[in-house]
Amino acid sequence: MYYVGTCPFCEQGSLGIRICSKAGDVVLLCDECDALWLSTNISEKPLFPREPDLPCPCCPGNLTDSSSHWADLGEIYQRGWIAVVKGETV
Amino acid sequence: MNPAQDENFSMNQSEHKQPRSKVRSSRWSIAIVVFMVVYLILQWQQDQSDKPVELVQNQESILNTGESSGQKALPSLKEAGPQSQIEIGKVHEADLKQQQTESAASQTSSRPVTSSPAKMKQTPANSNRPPPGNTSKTSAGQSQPELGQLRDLGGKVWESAAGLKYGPGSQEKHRLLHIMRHAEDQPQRPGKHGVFSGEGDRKKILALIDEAYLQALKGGRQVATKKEGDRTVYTVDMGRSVGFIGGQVGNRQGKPSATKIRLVLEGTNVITAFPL
Repeated sequence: MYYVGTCPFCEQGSLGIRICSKAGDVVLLCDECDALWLSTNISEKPLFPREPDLPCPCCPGNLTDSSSHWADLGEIYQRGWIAVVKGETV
Repeated sequence: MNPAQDENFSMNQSEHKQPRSKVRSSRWSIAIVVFMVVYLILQWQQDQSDKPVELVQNQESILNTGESSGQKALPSLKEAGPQSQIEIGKVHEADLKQQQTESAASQTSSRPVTSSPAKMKQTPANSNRPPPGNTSKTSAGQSQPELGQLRDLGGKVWESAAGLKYGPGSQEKHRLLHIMRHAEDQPQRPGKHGVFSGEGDRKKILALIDEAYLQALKGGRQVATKKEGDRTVYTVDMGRSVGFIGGQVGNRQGKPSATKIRLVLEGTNVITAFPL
């Protein structure tokens, strides 16, 4: 999982770049508390998608189906978020 | 003695005998009544003392089921890689259910089979039931489950003794599995990774979380609360070491001791909990 930083809400989770199951929307998702950001500006207030499905805020898809996934480097590059990537978790 | 005197004597004797036997029979009937009353009182007292024990037994069977299953799930979590954790979650759920039915079956089979329910009543001294070791009693005499114990609410949701609910969710597919990520260090994890003390024992970890939650509900200087929408974040200073800080940052700092627990909740549903 490529991450862009530590979650400012729970202050422990890593913020990964997640691709939704339907329209391929890209969001930042905390791997600890499921807080979500629609942009790379994490100083904004996070969204908290409904548990346990985590519906995508942009389309009828969600962030938990098997077709949703952590973005690979190519997908991150395509969406122009490569500059904010801090590293990759093992 | 002439026959007249003899007849007179025998009549007198029978007159004397009759009241004596009446007295005897009335004494006997009083004694029987008193015995019956004492017996009934003893029976009633026995019933009263027996009821709470049975209640405790029922609670114990429910809660121990969750406990044993969780401890079994942990080694499989440790052995498996992150890729297979989702599948483990499914197995874990099945395990929880299976062990509950097994436990219930063993509990019923261990009890003596009797023809009538009245015969099952036993005095505490004669009872072969195990003592209610996993329950604690309040001053009012009511039994309460120990912190860290779980009971199945159905729908893959488990409730802790303090009232926290663990249900489906997270990348691990279940909050209990997610919490158990904090049972051991992840030295390669970016940033900090709080690790609970308790040698990876799920019951001990859940007991710490329960304790922190009860303290959070009480409030006070040791508790910091942050609310955002449906989410509540409690940071509870436990006043003692409850684990250590691992992850890349924690390992760089020499795994410092953690004395606080952070709870992220939605109502009483646990999203995550970890030491910091």
